[in-house]
Parts: sequence; C-alpha cells; structure tokens
Amino acid sequence: MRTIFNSNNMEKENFAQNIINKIREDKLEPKPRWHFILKNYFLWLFGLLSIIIGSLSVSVLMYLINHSHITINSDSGYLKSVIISLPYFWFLFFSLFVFIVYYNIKHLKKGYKYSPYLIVVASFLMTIILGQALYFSGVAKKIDDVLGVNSGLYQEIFNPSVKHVFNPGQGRLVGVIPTPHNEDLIELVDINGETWALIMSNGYIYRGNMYKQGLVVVHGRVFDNRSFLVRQIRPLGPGNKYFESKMQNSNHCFGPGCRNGQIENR
Amino acid sequence: MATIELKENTSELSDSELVKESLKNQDFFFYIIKRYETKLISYINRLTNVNNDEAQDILQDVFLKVYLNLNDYKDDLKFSSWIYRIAHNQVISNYRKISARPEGHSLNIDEIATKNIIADVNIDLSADLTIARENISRILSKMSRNNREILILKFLEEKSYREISDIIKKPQGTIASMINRAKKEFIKIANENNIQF
Repeated sequence: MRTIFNSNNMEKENFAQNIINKIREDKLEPKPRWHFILKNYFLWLFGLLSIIIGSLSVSVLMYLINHSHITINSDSGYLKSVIISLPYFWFLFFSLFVFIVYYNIKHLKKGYKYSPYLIVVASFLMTIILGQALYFSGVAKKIDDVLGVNSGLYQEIFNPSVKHVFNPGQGRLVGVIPTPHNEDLIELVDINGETWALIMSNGYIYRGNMYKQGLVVVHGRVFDNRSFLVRQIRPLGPGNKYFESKMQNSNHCFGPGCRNGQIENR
Repeated sequence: MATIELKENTSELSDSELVKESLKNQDFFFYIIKRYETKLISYINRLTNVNNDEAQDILQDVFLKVYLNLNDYKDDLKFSSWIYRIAHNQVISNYRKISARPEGHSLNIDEIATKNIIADVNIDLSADLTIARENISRILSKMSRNNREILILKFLEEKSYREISDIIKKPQGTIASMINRAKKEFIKIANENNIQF
C-alpha cells in the first residue's frame, strides 16, 4: 500500500475522502437488495394486474356491444343508435389500463430498450386477446350481473343503453313471457308491470326457449295500444340482473316512460 | 477521520468487482469515486454552466446516490453507463436551478472530438482547429438541452449508441433519430450565425 502525495491528486483524494467521510458521518448504507427486488416484483405484479383489469374491461365491452339491442330495428337511425348505446365508460377504462400497462413496461429495468409504439401495440394486443378469452368464459356476464345488482351507477355509467332498451315507440319491449295457458295468446309483462299481447309475425325469430329466458327483448312494432307485432325475441343479456333487481324491489314502474314511480299516459 | 490508504492492485479490479468489494467494505467505494470523478465532473460541466463548487455539489450528490443504490447495479449493464445515467438524472433534477448557458462558455472539446464532430456533420474544415473548437463550443452552447446532450455523449464523451441508450434510457433506434435531429440543429445554428469552419 502507498499514499500519493502529488497536490492535484491530493485535491481529488480530498473530494473522494469527503464523500467517504459523509457516508460514515451520516451512517449511510446501500439500500438492501430486497428493496430493489421487491420494487421489481411490484412493477411486474402491477403490470399483470393492469393487463387483467384491462382485459376484463375488454370482455365487458364485447359483451355489451355483441348483445346490444339498441341498433336493431331502430327508427332513429343507425348512427344515433350506436352513439347512444356505446359503453363509453368501458372504452375509457380499457384505454386507461392500456396506458398503465405501457407505462409499466416502460419502467421495467429493460423496458426502455423497446420502441414506444411496440409497447403500445403489445399492451393493446395482450389486453384484447386475454379479453376475448375472458368474454368467452362468461366472466363479462358475471361482472355485468354484479354491477347491475350492486351499483347505483349502473345505468348512468356502466351500461347506459339500459335507459333506452325499453322503448315501444322504437320497437322494443323488455319483460318476461310467462308460460301461457293458451298457445294462441302469448303475453309479455313488461318492466313496468304492463301486459302486452304478442302477435307473432310470419317470419318472426326467437332464440332459445322464450318462456324460460327470464327477461327478454321483443323486437317489432306496436300494433295497437297493448299489442305488439313480434319480429324477433332475444334474451335481454346485459342489464338482466339490473332489471330483475328493480322489478323485485319495487312495485312501481321504472325506466323510460315513468315519472315519480307512476306510468305516464301513453 | 481515518484516510483511505491506496491499494495498488485496485486498478486491476473491474468496475463490477469494485462494486462487490464496496458492498462488503465501504472504503472500496473510494476507488470507484477516483475512477469516475474526472469523467463525471467534465460531463456535468459540459451539460451545465455551473461554477466549480456547484459542479462538485452535483457530483457529490451523484456519488452518494450511486453508493445508496449499489445493490441495484447488475453487470448485464456497463457500470460506466449506469453511473452516467445517475449523473444524467441528477443534472436534470438540478436543471431548474441552472440558468441558461451563457454564450462562449467553454465545453472543453479536444482535438479528436472536434474532428469527429466536423466529419460527422459533414462540414468542411478550412479554418484553424482551435477556431473550429471555439465555434463548435459556441454552437453547442446555443443548442437545446436535449440535442446538446446527445452530441456531448456521442462526440465528447465518445459513447456508443448502446451506451447512450442505457444512459438516457431510450431505444437505440430513437438514439439514432435524436443524433440526426441534433446534427440538423447544429448545422442550422451554424448557418444562422454565419459560423465558418
């Protein structure tokens, strides 16, 4: 070992020595390795959670769009129907989590090596692919059911199309079809408790067993005051549990056409 | 306060080995400081216009951060890139305290860097090399911070694309675009100020 006495080097050694002294005085120690390992695991976990949540929103989006009734038989125009029935919340939610996944990947140790475009595309594709898988597994329906029963914001935020789905003037009834005593007289009890006589048109389409579907949407047109010419009957799909819980909890009507719990005159 | 006695064989230790030794015995961190302080003070001075005391303060903060984060270093990354990255981040975090660079502030450009810049930016060298160095320094002083830094890293610090990518944490493809953009700004400023080479 030797000590260097050159004056320039003494200055440099003073600087280096000062830092060592400060480390000793302040009792500084390197952050432990587990701190960085934990941080890294947290980033990965957060990224994974973001992908899962983003994918769930994709699955719900697919469920709401694929089972939308608004665009069918709509007199108000296809574009307007699309605009009012789109689930904007879920689009925004999905976009937010694609961004979070992108941000997460960028902040991984080697994330900076990848082009931002590649990361955005990868984030997008991961959530879409997993979202499709979750949709086909039935998770989206469960999420919709839970939100429909438990969330006060269901019709405002999570599924605004339920505000418009029941609209006799636009050719849509929503309700249940009790098993008839007479096959020639099929009726629907709508979500407001009103009864409609269903007249099956020549080419009407139904999917499944209309008597055991729970809530259904009947597409067609009003024939007269309380009868409806049926073109198509489909299960309600999104909003099913929402309407069910409303009908169970209230003797008053709800949905479009109601004011203060009472049915407005048609 | 006990001083460190120099060990002759530390110069043979690689950066990674010095890091490992520093984690066992903080005295070895002294040799990391000695190995990098000249390069980093020069880098800090090139990026900023601070006086020597302020540069030393920034450099001290850099080394303290390096010490605190030693366990975060892995040798799949060059240690020099890692330490330069910390210096880069420290300069940015101090940036708001640093005023605009005054014109003519020396960037300490050597002859090789001068020739590299001129060759790479496709400028014909007709003037004296000393004048060329002064002109380059003037132009760099007028450049935007990001463009200046990228040229400093490439030509003055002589970092490779990969090293620059690791220092400023951007993809290598982006580094290439950034260098092109910086060169365009360099030529534009040279033309606007009638700076001849």
